[in-house]
Amino acid sequence: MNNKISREDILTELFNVGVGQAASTLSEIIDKRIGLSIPSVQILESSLAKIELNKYLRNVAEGAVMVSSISFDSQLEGKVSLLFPADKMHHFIDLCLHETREEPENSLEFNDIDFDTVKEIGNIVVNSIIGELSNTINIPIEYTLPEINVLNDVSAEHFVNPEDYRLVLMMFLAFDIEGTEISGAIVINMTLKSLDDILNKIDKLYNG
Amino acid sequence: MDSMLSGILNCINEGIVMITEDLMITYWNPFMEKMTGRRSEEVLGARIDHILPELGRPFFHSAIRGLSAGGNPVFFSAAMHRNMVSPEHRVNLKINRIATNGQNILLLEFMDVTNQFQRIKQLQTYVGQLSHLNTQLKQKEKVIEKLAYYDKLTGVANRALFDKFADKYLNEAKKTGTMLGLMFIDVNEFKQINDTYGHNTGDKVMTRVASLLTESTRKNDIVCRYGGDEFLVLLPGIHSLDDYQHIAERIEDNKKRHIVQDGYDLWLSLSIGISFYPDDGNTISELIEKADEYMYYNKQQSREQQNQL
Repeated sequence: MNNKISREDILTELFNVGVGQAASTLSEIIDKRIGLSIPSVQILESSLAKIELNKYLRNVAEGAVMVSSISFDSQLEGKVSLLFPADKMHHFIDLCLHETREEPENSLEFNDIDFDTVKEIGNIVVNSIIGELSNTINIPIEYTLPEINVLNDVSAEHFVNPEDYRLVLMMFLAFDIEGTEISGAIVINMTLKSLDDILNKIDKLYNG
Repeated sequence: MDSMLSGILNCINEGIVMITEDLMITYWNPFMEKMTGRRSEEVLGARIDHILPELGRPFFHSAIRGLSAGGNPVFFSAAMHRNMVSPEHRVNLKINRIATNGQNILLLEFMDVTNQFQRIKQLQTYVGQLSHLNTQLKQKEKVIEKLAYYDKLTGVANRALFDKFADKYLNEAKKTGTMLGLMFIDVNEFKQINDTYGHNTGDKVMTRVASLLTESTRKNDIVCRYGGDEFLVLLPGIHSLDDYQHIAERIEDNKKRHIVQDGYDLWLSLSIGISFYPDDGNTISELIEKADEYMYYNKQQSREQQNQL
């Protein structure tokens, strides 16, 4: 029997520590009880990642997503995309801003205030995940502020790039604002070398 | 600071503040002075969270610690932080770490988005007004449709709606090989009711007849006020005479009865004739003509029975 803890389990634990901090920061900012958790992290070949992500896009997001994406380079290279079902975002943003709006909630029209709100949330969540990872493996990761986009009829091809990144870290994010739940997905594309560096560090730290 | 850089930052239409890692203000540009009403001389050397109290909250300190350590920029939105510089200005805040002369300074960019908020609020008000107008318009459309297709007095279909459905149902019957029933109904001695009890009571009796017919027929049957005291009923999808019999029985139970209207005890009786496609005709006109003929026989019989009594 293999007593070693799997790399996925270690990453799951690391990222949950990170999003736990993000939840407490967001709770303080919007003055509401917030829960954030990542049930599991998967390290997938790009073809498998596409299958998993397409399931999410079809079943949860129904084709339209609001995406907060950040590229990072320097010692580690890659791109993080944080996806939310676009039709749920008006309600989600309203909850964050303590507001209600008259327009239909499931429309895909967003204004600059909506984009800025998601930009801040994306920044907090990604900071927490990447920050925790960077601290643990002791490799600095540099990135800019997230770019926000709304994409309709989108497929996994848009987020998983097998040419530049052969392996993908995939996880789902359960976001709960005072009982209202929203399911996000996080896709981290990384160069093979970057992921290797991370996994080797993790192996050394946790499994000797 | 380089004089050219300082000149640029003084002209920029964005609040620019530089602070040390322990939050001391080292630069405060004129746009910040304009937004906060605090002169540069007053704030230089003071802690940023003493000058802008909103930035004294724990999440700000934690973001600054993260930024000092990792160097990755942070962003605070005007939507989630409403009173960052003053109650009148809505600002987004972006903070970057800049390494200079072996030490880090933090660059705070306050982007004024007050106009954006005002424009969006204005647009939301317009959208709200448009949506309200649209609802009113839809309600009016319904009223117009009701006026165009429904009898004002009784609320049942008028001849325009009858014609629309008659053609549709006749075509369906021809396609599916089913029968189409058409009832011609006349209120007996209606003129006498009007003359004796007045038009107002007569109108109410007519409305009760319409309700009686609607209640006795099926959901897809069309009850139409054809003329003064005449009604037509379209009965689509009749497969056998049994189908018709159920409806006829319900009408039959109600067609001769005493009713009380406006305190008067009235005798209400209906004469009914029915024709069927294809047995009695191939067009709606032929079916109406035939049903009218049968209704007339029915009326004659009623009169004869009454005379005998």
